[in-house]
This record gives sequence, C-alpha cells and structure tokens, in this order.
Amino acid sequence: MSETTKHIKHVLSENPVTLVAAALFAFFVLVAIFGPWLAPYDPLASDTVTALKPPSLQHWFGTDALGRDILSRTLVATRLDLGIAVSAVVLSFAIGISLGLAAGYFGGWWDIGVIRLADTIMAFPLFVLAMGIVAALGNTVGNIVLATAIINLPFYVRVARAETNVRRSAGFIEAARLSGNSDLRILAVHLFPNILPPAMVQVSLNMGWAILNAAGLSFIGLGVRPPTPEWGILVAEGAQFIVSGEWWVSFFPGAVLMLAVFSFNLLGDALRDIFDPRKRT
Amino acid sequence: MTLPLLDVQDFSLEFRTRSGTVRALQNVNLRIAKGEIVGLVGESGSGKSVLSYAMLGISDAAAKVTGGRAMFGAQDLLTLDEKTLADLRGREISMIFQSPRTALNPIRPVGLQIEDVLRRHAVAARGRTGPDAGLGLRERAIQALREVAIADPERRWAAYPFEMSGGMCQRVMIAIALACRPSLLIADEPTTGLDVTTQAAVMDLITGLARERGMATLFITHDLGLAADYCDRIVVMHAGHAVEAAPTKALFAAPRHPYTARLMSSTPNAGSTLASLEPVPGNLPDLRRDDLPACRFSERCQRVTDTCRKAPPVLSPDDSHAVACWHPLMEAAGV
Amino acid sequence: MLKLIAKRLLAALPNLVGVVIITFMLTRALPGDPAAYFAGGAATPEAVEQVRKQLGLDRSLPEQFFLYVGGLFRGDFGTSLTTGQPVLQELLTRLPASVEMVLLALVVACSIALPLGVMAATKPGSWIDQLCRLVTTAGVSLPTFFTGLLLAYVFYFLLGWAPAPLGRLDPVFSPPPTVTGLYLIDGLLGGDSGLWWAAFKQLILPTLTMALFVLAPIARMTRASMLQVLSSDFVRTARASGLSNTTVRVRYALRNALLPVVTTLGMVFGFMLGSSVIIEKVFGWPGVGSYAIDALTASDYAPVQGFVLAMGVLFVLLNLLVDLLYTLIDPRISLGASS
Repeated sequence: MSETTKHIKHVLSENPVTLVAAALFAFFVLVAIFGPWLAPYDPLASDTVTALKPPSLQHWFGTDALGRDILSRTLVATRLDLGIAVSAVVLSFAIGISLGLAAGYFGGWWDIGVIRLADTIMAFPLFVLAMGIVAALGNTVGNIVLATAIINLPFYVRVARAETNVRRSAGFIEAARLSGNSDLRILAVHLFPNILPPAMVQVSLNMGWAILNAAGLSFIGLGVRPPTPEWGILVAEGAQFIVSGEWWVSFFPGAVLMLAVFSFNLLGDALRDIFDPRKRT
Repeated sequence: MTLPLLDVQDFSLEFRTRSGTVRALQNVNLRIAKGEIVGLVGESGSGKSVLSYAMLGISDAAAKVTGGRAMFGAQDLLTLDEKTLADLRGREISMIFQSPRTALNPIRPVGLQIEDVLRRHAVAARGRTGPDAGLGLRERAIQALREVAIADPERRWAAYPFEMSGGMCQRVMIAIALACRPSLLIADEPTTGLDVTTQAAVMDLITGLARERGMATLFITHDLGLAADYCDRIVVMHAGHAVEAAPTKALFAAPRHPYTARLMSSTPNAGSTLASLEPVPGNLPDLRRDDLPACRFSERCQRVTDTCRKAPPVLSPDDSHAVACWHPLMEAAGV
Repeated sequence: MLKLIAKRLLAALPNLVGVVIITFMLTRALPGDPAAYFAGGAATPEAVEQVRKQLGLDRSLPEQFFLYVGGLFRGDFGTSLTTGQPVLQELLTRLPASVEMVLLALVVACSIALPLGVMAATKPGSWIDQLCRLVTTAGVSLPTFFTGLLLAYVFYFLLGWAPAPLGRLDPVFSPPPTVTGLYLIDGLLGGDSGLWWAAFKQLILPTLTMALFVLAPIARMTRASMLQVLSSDFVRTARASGLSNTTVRVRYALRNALLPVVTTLGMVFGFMLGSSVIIEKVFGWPGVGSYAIDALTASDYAPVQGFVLAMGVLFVLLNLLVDLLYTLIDPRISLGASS
C-alpha cells in the first residue's frame, strides 16, 4: 500500500466526519447532475390554490407564494448553484495559478505586477467588489461567475507564488534550468504538479465560499433572476414571509445551501489533513 | 552517609502514544549529593531530559510514572500535588533549557521575567538574609543580572530577548533560575547551539555559581567531553537505563560498561585521528517493542550472552563506581 | 516610532490608489454607453449628450481618470438619479447606521470568541473544545441572510423577544439629536432612556447575526494561536520556574497568543463590511449597504460606485489601523528587531 493511500486511510479512520463530508459531497454532485429528474414537481409550475402550504406528505418542503413545490425548486437549484461555483472556481484556478506561477518563476516586474493586482483586489471587502463588478458589467449569470472568479484570484495567486518561491530558493529551478529544461517544461512538468496539493485544498475551501457568494449576490437581486430557481433567490422569495410565520419558504433552501457549503468546507479540511497535516488547527 | 539531596530510586516511566507505549525509563537509579555537580550523559533519546522533566512534574501529558521514587530531601517528588511542586519549582529546584532565546518570553522585558519568579516565591526571597535582604524587586532583578556577568544590568533590565545574543539570553535564563537560590539546578543541554567560546563562558558561570553557593547541579548533555571538564561525577544513560555512574576521573580512567567505553572511543579529543574514532554500532532499540531484551544494549554489544537478554542488570547506587552490566570491563591492572 | 507609523501609512497608499483605479474602471467599463447609464433610462438623446459632456465621457481615458480623481477630491462622488442628492452626502448620512452595527457586532463577537478560543486551548478535548470546533466549522458555512432570517423568525415571530426587523427605531420614536450618529451613544448623551432602550432592542438581531458570522474566524485563530503558544519553550520555562497557572496563562501565554488574533481582525473587518450589505437588506437597516442595493435595483449606478469606492477606502483605512495597532503592541516591531 503506498504511503499516500496509507495516510488517506489513517485520516479517514481518524475522523469519521471526513467520510460524512465525502458522502455529502457525492450526494450534492449527484443531485446537481440528476436534479431535474429527481424533482417530483415542475419547479416552475405555479398553482395558486396550493400557495403557502406548510410541509406535508405531498410537498415535503411546502409550497411558496405561487404554489410552487419548494422541494423541486431546491433540488433543481442545486445544479445552477454548483454550476456557478464550479465555473467560477475553475476560472479562478486557471488564471490565478498561471499568474502565481509566473510571478514566482520569472520574478521582477511579473512578481511586482501580480502582487499589486492581488493586493488591490484584497483591498476591497470581496463581496462589495463582486457587487461592483456585476453592477458595472451587467446583471447576468455569466458576470456573476466572472465576478466570483475575480475576487477569488488572490488565493490561487498566493498559493502558486508561495510554492514556487519555496522551490526557487531551494535551488530547484536553477537546477532544472541547468539541466537544460525550457521554461515551459519546468513550469508545466516540474512546478505545476507540486503546486497541485495545496491548490486543491484551496479549491475545496473556495467552493463553499463561492457558493455563499453566488447565493448572496442573488439574494440582493444580482445575477440570477426569478423565476429561475437558485438557493439565494429562493431564500429571498421567502424572506417576506418569515415575519408572518411561513418559515418553510426560506428555511429549506437556506438549510440545503448551508449543508452544501458545510460539506465542501469539511471536505476541504479533510484534504488539508491529507496533504498538509502541519496546517491542522 | 549523609542524605543525598536528590535520590532517584528504581524510577520507571512510559509514554502512551498512538503508535504504542514507549518505555522511556526503566529502573533508573540516580543520586546527587548536596553541592555536587553531576553530569547525565547519553545519546539523543536515552531519556535524560525525560527524567528531569519528570522530577519537576512538567512532563508531557502522555507520560505515566510506572514505578520508583524521587526523594528530594524527605519528600517524594512523584507523590506531591501540583501546588507543592509549583512551590518547589524555581525555589528549591530550577531548570534551564537549550535554545535560550526561544525559552524566554519574547514580548516581556527580561528584568520583569526575573521579577515574576522573585515575586512568585516572595516568601523565600524575603526570608533570605545577606546582601539582598531589604532590596526591592527591581533591585534584586538587577542584582541577579549582575551575578550572571551581564554588563550594564540597569539598562539590560528593560531589554527584550531579541535584542540580546544567544549567550546573553542563556545568562538571563540562568539568572531567572538562580534568582531564588535553589539547592538543585538542572541544566538541560544549556550550551547546545552556542559557539565554543560562549559555551565555555556559560559553563564556567554555572559551575562557578554552583561552587560559590553550594548548589547541586545536574548537567544533562550528549557531549562527553564537556561533562569531563566540568562535572564531579558522571552518570551514563542508554535507552532509558542508567548504565554506569562514577566519579569523572575514575570513569575516564577505567570505564566499566561496554557502552561507556564505546562512547569514549567515538568522542574526538585532541590527538585523536579520524581513523581512531569508532562509532557505537547499531542504533538505539525501539522502546515501543514488547520484546525488548533485559539489557537494552545487548543488541549492540560484543560481550553479550543469554543472561544479558533475560535478566536485567542493576546499577547499585551505593557503589562509588557503579555499573549495570553482567560482563563489565575490568581494568587489566586490577580494580 | 514615528518613522514606523509613517512607513505603514506609505505602505497603505498603493492600496488606496489601486482602489481608486479599480473603481474608476468599473465606472467607465459599463457595456454600452456609460453616459446613457448615468442619464437614466428615460433620458432623451440630448440629455444623454449633456451628461456625457458634464462627466467628460467624451474625453480620452487618462483625461477622464484625472477628471474623476479631481472630482473625488472635491467630494464629488456623483449624483443619485432616484433621489437627486449628491452621493457622498447620502453615504455620509447613512454611514453611522452601518458603523454602529459593525462595531457592536465586533465587540459581541470578541467577547464570546476570545474566551471560547482560550478555554478550548487550555482544556483540549473538553466539551468547550468540541463546542469551539463546532462553532468554527459551522460558522464559516453560515449564509448570513439565512441566519438573520432564522433569528428573526425565532426571536421575533416565535418568542416575541425581539422587535420587528424594521430598521433602527420603532416609528413611534424619533432619533436622538445627532452627535455621532450612533444612536446608542447619542441616546446616552441625550438622556432619554426609553429611546436608548428602543434603539438597543432594534440593534440586537442584526448585531447578533453579524456577530455569529465573525465568531468563527476569531475563535479559530484564538484557539490555534493559544495552542501554539501553550506548547512553546517560554511557557515551559515559566512553568518550570513555578509561576502560577494564572500568571502563565495570562501574562505569558495569552498576551503572546493575542498578537496573531489582532492581525486576523483586518480580515474580519472585510467579512463584516461585505456581510453588512446582506444584513441591512434582511433587517431593513438604513445603512450604506441598503442604500447601494436600492440604487442597484433602480439601475441607479452612481450610488453603487460611490458605495464600492467608499467601502474600499474604509477597508484600507481599517487595515491600516489594525496594522498600526499591531506595530504598537508588539515590542519586536516597535523597537525594531534585528535579524
């Protein structure tokens, strides 16, 4: 059994919560893929007769103001939320890692420029910056993805740059160059694979945050518009009814959202324990 | 015979870890007389530091004493409650550590750190007579700095550890440890990491103060040469066992335990050549094993017989040159 | 010492410049015709042209930038289409509401998170430790809008303990005479205890929501830092000197452990400023966040951009403050540690 497998088994057996997190993660991915087929009702079909009914056997999560089944809407929303988060993180990862690698590898102006960019992004409260970007570029889902990607750039830039710098000061890069490797080869074959473990930890932790971000933006009316089901929108639709006691309209989508973010965070913690036990808290 | 200051009898200790139980110390006997400077020598992992931490009651939480006594005067240190132990620490028994800069509070002036100890053991400090009687805390702290040969102690009182060299930090630690005039000082590798000249200065300081005050010192080190230069007696440890104890001259003239002999031939001294140095063969045994031989050196020893594996050799503390071995080395000239 | 402070101030400048540049880019990066956006949906072509000339949108980009920065220094953050008021003025009027909630939330969060983290570290494996770990893991997963709504449901609707989430004051009361803009302070100064209590009650839910959100990072950092410090060499020395448990824990461990927590505060402020937008929406809180959201829904862009700029500047200044605070309390920095 290789060292990594042994270590993974050790972490899994140490902490059963990790298994739970992995199971939840798998669950959400499945729901995202098969959501529309799993939904008992059409998420967009309104039926004013059954409006605002509390949870029952016919409607496990109850119905909203337009009589739509909340369970169906929540299930279907999974795909959109996860889709936004995944796209944003992938985009952020691709650009951020490339910039960070370049900064650490080439140094000089590259380094200064990239760090300036990352610092300037982090000079804003990130959610506010996302608001500003979506407001400036236009109120579409694509721009939500772009905005979320931009505000997450600094994390990947820093991870890539830090890891590259470590190897640079260890003489790793010099040695590779002296053996005749081209820049691209060094970057792609030597540096990138070493950056993957901490970067993957970052990805998992970021996913939870990206979902929260996207939902938050929709909650305040940016990006996804009703009647498209999205967790943030679903909670927003139910907000006005909280004070009159119809709690289920906001509660279930919100709880599912929380569960999704929670499982991604747990997974991120588990990945971190596997790849870098030193950073455990 | 006068009562020894510290009398460790048959002391055993183990650690419960995730990967098994580490039998760190087994049936250790150690005696320190009043005012005596004893060197505790052994490889890394031989249990020297573990022993001293256990005396003070500051062992890791996973440590468990499984037998023996540690008599300090009339009290068994191992049975004392935390409060009594805390009263003893810093006042009757003090300890100094290696890496002096990290062993001091980085954001507190060193003078205040000395005053903290003085204030804590105020009763004892106040009760002492002599040139210190009647001085305030701050003056006492400055006096303590002066006693460890720190120049300009009034100004240095306000200094932070990062503003001082390693040697100076070690002096401060000594000042803290000796502020309340303890009767026993445990020095755990105090010169490791310091350059050679500073090493000598620190060792001279410690032994000088010890002689002056009649303070017993347990000097823990892996450096046999250093122990030879400064200690009255040396106790050699191997893998959690105390294997030999003798006055320094006698030990070096005629080591009785095979391990001690091999240790000496692997230690360079002036005049030895690289070729004449021989490492001790093998490694320390894994102390988590259930099948440890009775003599833990037997797997590395050339004089081993079956008895060595089955019956534990015992170091008898009453002998002036004691050895824990079934087949000790004998001086050809007859001892 | 002054040199250090000056150095820190200088270090914050590039961030300020970056904030202004990015906000400028956002202002002028609108798809289509920026002038049309600023003129509003109902504007005639002539009105749009007028706005274009007024804002200098017909000039080159560098010229526009200098015009923009010049305007900022004059206090011109643009004008709101919906209210017709200068944006800066409206932001300043509404700022105290946001500040009051954020500050109070920070105080509440620290007073829970710090002891929690410390106790979790000093008693590892105990129920307090488990609670702390639960709080930190669950806390970062909490969507603030969800927590806010839940709290409103439980404490207002179910239990009736908290007032309706309708803003800073029940309409029955009129606000206290303005000194700081913070109702709790102005109310105290004004001497009207009924008013003070009413203002306080309205603050409870939004403050609690935000505090719950920032509890997690503060508690996590406190626990981690304390754990590390407790196993450090100097704590061992302190114990070996016989110092009492309290002295060791407070004077030696805690003071050292708090240093990294202070640096966390900068990051925490960022979370708070961001989540304040959402919390203001949930509770109808008349702060700068809800101002921006209302403007956004009405396609009124100047307030949104003014808001983003103001938040950026505020965040940079807050980070600077935290930086300066840290410089002052860590002697290794204030006295200049040699390597």
